[in-house]
Amino acid sequence: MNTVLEIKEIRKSFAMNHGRARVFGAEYKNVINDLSISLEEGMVTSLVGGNGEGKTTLFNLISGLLRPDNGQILYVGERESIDCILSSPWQIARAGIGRMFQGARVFDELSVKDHLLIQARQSEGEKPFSRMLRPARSKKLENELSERIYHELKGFEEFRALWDAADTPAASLSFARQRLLSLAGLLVGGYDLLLLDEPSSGLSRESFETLYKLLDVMRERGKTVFLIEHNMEFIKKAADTCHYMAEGRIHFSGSPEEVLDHADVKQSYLL
Amino acid sequence: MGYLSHIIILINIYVILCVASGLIIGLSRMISLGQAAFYGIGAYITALCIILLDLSLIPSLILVMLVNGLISLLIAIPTIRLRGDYFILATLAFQFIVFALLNNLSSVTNGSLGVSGISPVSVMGLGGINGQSGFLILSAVLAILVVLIFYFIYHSPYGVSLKALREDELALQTMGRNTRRLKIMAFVISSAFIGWASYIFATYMTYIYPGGFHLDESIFILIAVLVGGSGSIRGAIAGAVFVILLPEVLRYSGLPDSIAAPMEQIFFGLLLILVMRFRPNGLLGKLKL
Repeated sequence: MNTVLEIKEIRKSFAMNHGRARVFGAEYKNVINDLSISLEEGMVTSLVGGNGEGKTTLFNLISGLLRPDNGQILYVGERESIDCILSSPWQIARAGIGRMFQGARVFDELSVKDHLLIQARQSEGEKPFSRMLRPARSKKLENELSERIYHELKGFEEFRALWDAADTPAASLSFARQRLLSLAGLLVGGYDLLLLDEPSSGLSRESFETLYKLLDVMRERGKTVFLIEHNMEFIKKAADTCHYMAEGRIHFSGSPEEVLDHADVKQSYLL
Repeated sequence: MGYLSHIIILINIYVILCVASGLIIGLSRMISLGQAAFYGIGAYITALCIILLDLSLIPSLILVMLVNGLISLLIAIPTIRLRGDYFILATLAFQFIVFALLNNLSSVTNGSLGVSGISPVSVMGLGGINGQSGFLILSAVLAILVVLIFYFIYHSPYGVSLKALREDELALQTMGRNTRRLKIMAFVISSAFIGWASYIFATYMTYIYPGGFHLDESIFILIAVLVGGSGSIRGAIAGAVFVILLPEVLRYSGLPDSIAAPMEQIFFGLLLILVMRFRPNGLLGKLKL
């Protein structure tokens, strides 16, 4: 089994002086404490832990939105291998790491179609004068992308319903459908590693099926998924391995059943 | 007739200024207070093209675009990563630097006296353009060209990405976009086309002086873009028409001149506050519920 992402002893602390300049005596809070973890190719790995234990911070470190104080984050992808610490978020995304944020983070004024095109296009043909100087080529590229998006989404009933409402602005979609739009975007984006921050939250029971199916498709294609979750039932059904995170480090790992049955986990979730 | 065509020429110049500025101020929501500086640089480069280099229409337009584009690139590289207020301050500083240079670098710009004797446009094979009807046609043609070019940019995949960038830059980065590059390109394209407005202005007036490219001018452009409706070409055009016509309306309102001039400023200021409060997307922009 190949390791896709190798994180070694990363540490991240935030100054607790509420945004003021860092001066002597500023208090620091260690959010990530010498955390090490590695992700295996083709597996769905889940991360559990209480609120404020640094799970989302870990995702921000992987996707380059934050820089760790020390440690190593190496991504060995199909397209390219990069050092996430030295790369910008867009370079990390282009290397094949896709990200879904907590909550619904969509571009309000863009239509469903534009969202999916942005993900599917991956800046191909995204030149200011492309539409004017090469209209035929630009149109053809867009048609090909639409075709590809439709082909990707047609297996999913709910994604297909989104595509049928392609001209709707994202702002007027319901919260759940905005989340589905983010997921559909990751599918058409062709990423090799997905970071999903609480994918099941806000979704209905029916939408869970879409999510399971999406994870199956990713697995089938040999893609890797790393997700933060709170829904036990979901983790047990969807994840291959599970890590429990507390106080900024991984306390223990194992199969979802093992980890979720552990006393500490039960306590932190009040099970 | 002379008055009417004068107003239309001014509107055409402002349409170019506002549509071009709309790409950064409206579509990408990078509020720039340095637009008049590029307008001024373009005008002085036009004077250079015509008085010293004796260039005809098309080579001058290209040269003005190139110089404006190059200078804006140099400005954009260090400032573009600044966010919100800091970007406004950086462009404001640029505005003041350019204004000070135009005013004080007398050996090059002739200082506050300005440059006069910018002879009318010469078009190869067609003789010279002069007289108002000539400028009416020239300015209309260039304004229509700019509107068309920017229409295509707004509706290209690039334009859609800029729109996304305005709403959530970090999310767009996690979709593989080098947002810094997208913004620099927008800044350069916008400044380059402002050069066309400079060209018409300088050749039409035949005389330019630093006072014409003061911060006030930048603020007018900002007001036109924001009031008209940011993020749409329609809005930028409406804003341009509006800021040119309003002073004329006040002129005929019967107010004495000593009151009409400050009234104009008060009116623009009040309008900007009201629009930002009640229609943040502009008068022609989409109403956000």
